[in-house]
Amino acid sequence: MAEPTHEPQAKADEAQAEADETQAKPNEAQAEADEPRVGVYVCYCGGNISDVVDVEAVAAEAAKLPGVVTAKTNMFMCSDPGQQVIADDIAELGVNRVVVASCAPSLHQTTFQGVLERSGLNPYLYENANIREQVSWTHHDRAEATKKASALVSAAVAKASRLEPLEPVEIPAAPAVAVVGGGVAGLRAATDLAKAGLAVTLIEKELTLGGTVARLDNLFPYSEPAEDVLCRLCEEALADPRITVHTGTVVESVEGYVGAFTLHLEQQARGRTVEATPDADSREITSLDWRCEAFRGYGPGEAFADEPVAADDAARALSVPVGAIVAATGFDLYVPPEGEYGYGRLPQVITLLDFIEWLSKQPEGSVPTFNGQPVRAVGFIHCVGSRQVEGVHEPGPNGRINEHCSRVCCTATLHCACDLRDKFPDVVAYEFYQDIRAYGRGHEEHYDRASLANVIFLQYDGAQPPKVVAGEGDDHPVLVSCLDGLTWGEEVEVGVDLLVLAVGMVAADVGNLATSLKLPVSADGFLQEVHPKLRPVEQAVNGVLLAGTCQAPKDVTESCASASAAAAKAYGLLASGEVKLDPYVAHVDPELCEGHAACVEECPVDRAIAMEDYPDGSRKAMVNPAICTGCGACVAVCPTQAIDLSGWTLEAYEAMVDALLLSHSEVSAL
Amino acid sequence: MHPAPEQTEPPILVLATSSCAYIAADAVGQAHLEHPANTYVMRVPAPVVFPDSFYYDCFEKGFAGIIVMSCGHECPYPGAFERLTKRIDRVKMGLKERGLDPARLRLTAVCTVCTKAYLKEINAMDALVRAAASAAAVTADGGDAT
Amino acid sequence: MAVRVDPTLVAELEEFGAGDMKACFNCGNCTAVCPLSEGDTAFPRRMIRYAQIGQRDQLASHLEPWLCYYCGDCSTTCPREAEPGETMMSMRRWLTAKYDFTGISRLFYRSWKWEVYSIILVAILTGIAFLAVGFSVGSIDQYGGPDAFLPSSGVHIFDWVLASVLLALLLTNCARMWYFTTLKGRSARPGLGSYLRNVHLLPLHFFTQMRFAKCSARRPWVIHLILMLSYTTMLVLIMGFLPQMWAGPEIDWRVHVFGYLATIGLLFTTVFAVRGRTKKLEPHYQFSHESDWMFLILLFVVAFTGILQHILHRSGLDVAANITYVVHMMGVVPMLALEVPFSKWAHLFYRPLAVYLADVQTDAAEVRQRAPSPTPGEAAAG
Ligand SMILES: Cc1cc2nc3c(=O)[nH]c(=O)nc-3n(C[C@H](O)[C@H](O)[C@H](O)COP(=O)(O)OP(=O)(O)OC[C@H]3O[C@@H](n4cnc5c(N)ncnc54)[C@H](O)[C@@H]3O)c2cc1C
Ligand code: SF4
Ligand code: SF4
Ligand code: SF4
Ligand code: SF4
Repeated sequence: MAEPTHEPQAKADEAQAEADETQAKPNEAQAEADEPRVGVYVCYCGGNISDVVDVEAVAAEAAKLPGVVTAKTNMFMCSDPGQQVIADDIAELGVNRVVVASCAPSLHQTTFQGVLERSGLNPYLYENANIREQVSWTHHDRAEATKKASALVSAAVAKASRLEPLEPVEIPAAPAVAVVGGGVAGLRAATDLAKAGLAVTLIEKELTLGGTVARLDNLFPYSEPAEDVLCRLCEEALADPRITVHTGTVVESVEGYVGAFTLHLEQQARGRTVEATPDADSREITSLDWRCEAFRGYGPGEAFADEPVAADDAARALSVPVGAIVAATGFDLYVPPEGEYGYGRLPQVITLLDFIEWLSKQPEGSVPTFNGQPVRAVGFIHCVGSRQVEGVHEPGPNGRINEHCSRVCCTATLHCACDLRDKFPDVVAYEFYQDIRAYGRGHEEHYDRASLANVIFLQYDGAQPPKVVAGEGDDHPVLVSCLDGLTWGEEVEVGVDLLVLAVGMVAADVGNLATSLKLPVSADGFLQEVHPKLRPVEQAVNGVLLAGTCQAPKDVTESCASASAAAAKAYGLLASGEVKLDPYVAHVDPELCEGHAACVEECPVDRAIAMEDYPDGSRKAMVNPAICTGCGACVAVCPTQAIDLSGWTLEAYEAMVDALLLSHSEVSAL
Repeated sequence: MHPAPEQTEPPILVLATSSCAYIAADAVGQAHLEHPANTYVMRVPAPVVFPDSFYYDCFEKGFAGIIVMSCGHECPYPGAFERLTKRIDRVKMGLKERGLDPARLRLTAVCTVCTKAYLKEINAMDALVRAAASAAAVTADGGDAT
Repeated sequence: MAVRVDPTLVAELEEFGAGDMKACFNCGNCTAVCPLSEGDTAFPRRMIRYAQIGQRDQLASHLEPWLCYYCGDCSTTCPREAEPGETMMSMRRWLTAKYDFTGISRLFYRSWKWEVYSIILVAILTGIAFLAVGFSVGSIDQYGGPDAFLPSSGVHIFDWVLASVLLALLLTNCARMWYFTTLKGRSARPGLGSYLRNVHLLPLHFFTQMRFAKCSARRPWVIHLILMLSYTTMLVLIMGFLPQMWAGPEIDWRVHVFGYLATIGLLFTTVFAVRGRTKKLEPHYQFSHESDWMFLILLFVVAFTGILQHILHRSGLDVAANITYVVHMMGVVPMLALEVPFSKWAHLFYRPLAVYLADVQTDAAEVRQRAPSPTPGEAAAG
């Protein structure tokens, strides 16, 4: 590492100090808080609950519980009048803990927390008793159901009495973002972030930008030249002074946490030219060549007027402090093992990417040739390396089969077949497919075009892929056959001069970025979001966002859309200069901590908790709330119960257990 | 503390993770799938928070069975599930030493849509604790109850 | 054994007037709605698929195109506007060409110029011949009697000669159809019993077109039936009773009645069809191949001049009647010599035969099913 970076460390310390303050807050607040005055509100849910549960009896039982100042019922607690009842009681009766016995918390927890907040109460002083999903909808005996509802309410009251006000964890955030990967997604995210005013470091491992799109000719759905799209993106990104581009650079390691990450980068020497890499596989050279052509100036060894790309010639290391990271590392193309559909054995069997390059180089108006032989018929096979079937396909180098659909290859293949028929109307095209998944706007049109252009479709079953053999003594060098679903499963054969495999997208190796941060991946190997619908571009690791195909197969439109979403999320996270996190993390009571460090040993998360020196000379555990995930593993092992989870204390759980058992025995004894 | 009177159903405690099993319990409710009412669900971020003593206390206080419904390997907290399995194994041994059937403590993974698994676990535990309760009642009738 | 795709058949069928069958994505809606495709048949989709992948032999071995009466339900239903009905029509043209060993049919269907010029040539030759014969044997102002310009007995003989040639051609082509669809490449061929048991169906289908009646729209069937019956009636009258029609006032009243009815039928249906095709009034009138126009025009000309010469003669205008009669023959001869064996008219014979053969095949299949395990010897003998 060239230069040690003190700055981020300093920031981290600051964050720590600030966090300690946050930690102290609940205790202060607790001191201020009065004795718990619990309000219990039991909902009829318009009959959904009251048809089975005797709601009035539950409220009457609740009123007898210690700490409860009022227990009321309402037809719909979530309605405006229902909410008003709570607000009034807070104002008039001094209710300072609220229990609503109603539907599942997933439905209205935030609704009722909102009432507390609007009434000037800390929203974390709310607890729910789920007497609809867990009682009235699952038990039909009225007595039994009422008894259970009462028990759940008493447990909720027990917990509510022990709730303390909490504040979200706030940590200072650096107004800078690292975008890893310089494909369309990375470029889009970088530009959006810079426009929002953040400093962006764009890190690309290759010497040129653009990723896979740099190797494409025309882009579906509207046949826009890939070069145009990419030039616009590159120019925008390179013209923006807030974006620093590091090509030929990889992430060595990452440390820190949301708001204060530090990326350690390795940049390779730049003087290397493409021609000077004789042992590189020839396909790579042509494609890189092509990229350099298209993106002159960002390529190796070429100076670009006031280019922000480092111009020195030696390999070097750098460190970049950022508040958030956008992963835009893209995908890898599936590489068929030798012999799959004749790949690697028959020279006429190529991938779709090779085909695109080949077609773009064939002069119009002639008979196209491949390896000097005329091409009169071309076959395309869909789903190569995608939608693989257990027991039919061999697991790849990663030990997995690829069950996922790569989503872009159907339309890309149709688009290519149309391009072929347009450019060379005498060349026959065949497509072997399972289903046509042309799902996007303007995609299905390419299927229409292809069928009207007399592309002949043959449908195979995933469990019985087409067979490919050399056409010995035939008019065509390659024969492809399948049990054609459109011809009642008859075996149908075609002769072709070129066989194109629509190879799918597989998860790329994200490298040290992923290992350093332990980024979760899904079963198919792609980086995984927290929730596909609710938090679609966020990673479980706070501050890491997903853009483009590193998450799942996407086309350019979708890649850019997710990149913009990731940029917006990153901006939202960092805009205020502070990051707010859930307060449900561990906290240590220094009074009780005797310095056993059992918690530190047990904690599964690096740097979430550590022993710190106290002014009085003792060593006590201290939690870093920015890193602590709130699992509670530490809580279970502390011999002095000095550590607890905010909002989910062990003491509260024990009180709930007592309350449940008390109601269980009492009520049934009635 | 509050030993359940003989005539009540033996109570069962369900520790359900917020990200998985608690959502499955909601799904059971949404599907109106009836099951024994002597089950009490407590929502927890990760059950690894409970020390060994918590389980012993629960049994001592009167729970007849405990089902820990975790997210299994889907656990959003890295490292938590591995620690939890170790703890539960240890507590089961402890229960044996205390003369309690270790089957009364069950660790299982229930995903957000696992309504069938949820019901299966509940019903199995219910059958187990009822059988044990009636066996105990027979012994009690036999005369030499303390 | 894998069948090999031949991508050229689509273009070939397009020359025969196929609709946009490339657009077909094999959903099968057409087969589902087709009121005539039932049991083991799966047209039109099966035929379209065979065409798409160039299975000429499969196509030639199927009777299915003939089982379609072109109600057009499939075309109306097709989500891809692939015009399956029109494609079936084009296959009938293709098959007509395939059955016709002379190759004339193929030439006509693929080039309307050839068809039109041939018809004009034959018409002119006929005109010259009839005028020459007429002037040499009689006088232009004589319609009947010994000095008749065109003596009915002579014309009758001529008709029979023409009909024999025509019949010979048609029968050979019908035999070829039978061979391609029922014998060629089949391991199990229908036994004699199957043919005999169903033989009554041949005239039945011919005269009633009862399968067409199953189509959801009834009007095309009625029109088609009127046309067909009028045409056949006229044929019978001409072949059997031509001299009687000539005879003057003492014409048998039955000949009279049938003659007038048939003429009205022909004129009505041809005018109806021409109007329908020009205005595209029905699904099956959406696309008109040159052969469809030729068929209608000739039929109309023949029917119109036929009745006109009759009226002229009755009005005492024998010169005009004789000239009109020559014009009539200029229509009749090309129609019978060129259109009936080689073009659209052939379906008059192919279709009932195909329906009959389909019944025979079904019968044979049932026979086989009832005797599930014939010894190999029997199967080979059958
Ligand atoms: C044959 C084919 C045809 C296609 N045709 C079309 C089309 O016509 N229209 C369309 O919309 N889409 C098409 N696509 C899809 C399109 O290629 C992708 O949507 C697009 O490339 C995704 O962009 P990306 O930035 O997510 O990933 P990529 O293009 O893969 O870019 C990722 C970049 O990140 C870099 N990188 C990776 N790892 C690291 C790391 N650790 N550190 C630094 N840098 C890293 C890579 O070098 C690369 O430059 C096609 C795809 C294929 C395969
Ligand atoms: S997009 Fe089409 S070709 Fe690609 S994997 Fe999915 S179904 Fe197969
Ligand atoms: S709650 Fe979990 S992550 Fe946080 S300090 Fe405790 S063990 Fe570590
Ligand atoms: S309805 Fe149309 S698309 Fe569907 S099978 Fe028939 S012809 Fe093809
Ligand atoms: S035109 Fe009518 S009869 Fe012919 S295939 Fe279509 S639906 Fe069937």
